[in-house]
Amino acid sequence: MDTTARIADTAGVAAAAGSADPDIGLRAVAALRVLAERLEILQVDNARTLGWSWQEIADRLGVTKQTVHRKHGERSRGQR
Amino acid sequence: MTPAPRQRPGALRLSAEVRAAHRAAFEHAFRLGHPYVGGEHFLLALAGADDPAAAVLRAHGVTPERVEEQVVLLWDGGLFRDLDGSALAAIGVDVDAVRARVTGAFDADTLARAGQRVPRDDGGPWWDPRRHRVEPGMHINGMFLPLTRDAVQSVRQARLEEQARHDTQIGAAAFALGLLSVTDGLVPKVLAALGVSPQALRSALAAVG
Repeated sequence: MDTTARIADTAGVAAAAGSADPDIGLRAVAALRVLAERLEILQVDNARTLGWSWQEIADRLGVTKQTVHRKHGERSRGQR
Repeated sequence: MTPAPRQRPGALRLSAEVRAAHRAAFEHAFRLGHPYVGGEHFLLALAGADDPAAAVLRAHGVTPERVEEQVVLLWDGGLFRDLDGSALAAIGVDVDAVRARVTGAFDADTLARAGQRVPRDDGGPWWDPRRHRVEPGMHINGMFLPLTRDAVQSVRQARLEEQARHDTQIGAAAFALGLLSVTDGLVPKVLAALGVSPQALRSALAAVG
């Protein structure tokens, strides 16, 4: 599955998050955010272990390298 | 006549067995290197105790050895703890499927390292009034381990069980019933992996005084 298709897939999930019941919809949004954060920690750490540069990671995440470094840099340094 | 000990109206009245099980659950979590206490650690502690409820658990195949084996097998580094699985399922995200993919793709060390970096819920920034709420957890011997949401929920359910039984305190059987009534967390998964029916276990536990 290429990146565009994956993004479309995520959009489908996000559309479903417009559940008519606000209780379910809002909780689902919050849980998705937490899940995404945790998977980001896992994936960034793994990429750094494999020797990826901050720039390469930032490109995939769609943010600047400063942003990803500020968020994950301290943690990755602690691991060495 | 000695006055009854004063107690906060909502205070938990835990029996000696349940207090011992709490301590044992903390020790199990610490020994396994898990950075939190979850329902699975309570189940491990209850199954290894020495009381009628523990005997019922063991008679149904919920022995400490078998539970620990499953807890280690299902260990995901704590990366998926406290996720609102039912809300995600309602919008078509299967957390268990994600968990299976992730635990299949990464080794235990990588998962454990990432799991330890899951930010603690410290209540947010200093100016947020909600910051000062207390994070549920256990302090033993100067160490702190947070309680997972399903563990907190099981304590709440145990109190309901106690009230339903008109007991004066939460005994091991009520605590086990509370633990079994929680649908989130690892306890249902451990029981399913052991091939134990929660319904059968519940009715057997309800018969214990």
